[in-house]
Amino acid sequence: MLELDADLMLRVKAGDSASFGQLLARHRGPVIHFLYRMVQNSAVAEELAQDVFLRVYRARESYVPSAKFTTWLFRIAMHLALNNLRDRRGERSGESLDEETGDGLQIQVADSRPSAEQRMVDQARRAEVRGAIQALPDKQRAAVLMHKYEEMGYAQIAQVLGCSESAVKSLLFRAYETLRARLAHMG
Amino acid sequence: MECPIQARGKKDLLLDYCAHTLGAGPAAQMEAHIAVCPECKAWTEAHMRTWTLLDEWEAPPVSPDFDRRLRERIAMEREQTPWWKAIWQSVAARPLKPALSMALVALLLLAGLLFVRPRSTPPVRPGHEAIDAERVEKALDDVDMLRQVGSAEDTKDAGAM
Repeated sequence: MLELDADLMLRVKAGDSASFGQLLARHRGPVIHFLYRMVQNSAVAEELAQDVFLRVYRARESYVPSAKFTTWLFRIAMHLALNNLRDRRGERSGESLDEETGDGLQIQVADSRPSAEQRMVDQARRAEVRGAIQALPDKQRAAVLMHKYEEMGYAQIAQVLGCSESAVKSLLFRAYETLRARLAHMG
Repeated sequence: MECPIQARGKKDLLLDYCAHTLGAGPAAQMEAHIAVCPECKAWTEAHMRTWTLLDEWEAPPVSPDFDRRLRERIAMEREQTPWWKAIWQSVAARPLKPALSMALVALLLLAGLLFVRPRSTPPVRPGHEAIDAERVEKALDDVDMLRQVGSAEDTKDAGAM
């Protein structure tokens, strides 16, 4: 049976723009969150996500449901994120972390209104986590983000990254070991 | 004793256990193993702690105008598409409607009638012409003979009366 996303995409191909809206509603969040964690800048993440969905729209004419829709979607997202990181490499290193500190703080304030001291502690913890993830090599980071936050299986991650399942397991082990070592002092 | 999971390189099972992606049966087996294996217990506890820390990192909410901006970009791209390409795209994307299909079929039939007419009557071979004349002549003789037989019969019947 054809998966829902593939069916929606085939409708988009047939000219049904409402189906594109449904696809957008289903995947906008995960794609933007994945990109945000990859590039660690919410404005850049949204710009890249716009490019992702624009590419999906452009490709509607030639779309063939040969692979899972989300695999295709995240493959586009990952390539755009890696290109962006490559382009931005060499720019000011602390830029993205500084920019995102504000976002995280706003969420925390809106959620539970902790004390100023608690907010600073939480902010510092999140900065450490972000820093640890940012320090991972690109492929390891992508694998961790898809596994941990998007809850993808090894097979799908392998398809997105274009490698074998055993290579994905190996990437994940090394990444989680590195994160465990870097964040051990926080536990 | 050496841990079978660590020794056989089956650490992905530990990873699946931490991610809660093991089935109920394998998860129970893993739990039983972890209870007696200090090495696996330490590994899973350390990774669970790391994962809890990773959970603290929430992504910011999506901008409310994200969809609007995307639709604007799509519309802008449509406007920039040359007219001939837009027509081709709409024709290629949509399945032909029944009326259009029927019109197309009628057009093809008409073209067939106009262009695929027989070029000329087939030439008659000389032998065939002679045979047909003979047959016609024979058939006319037969008719004459039947007519004569019929009139003779009539005369005979009249005499008898």
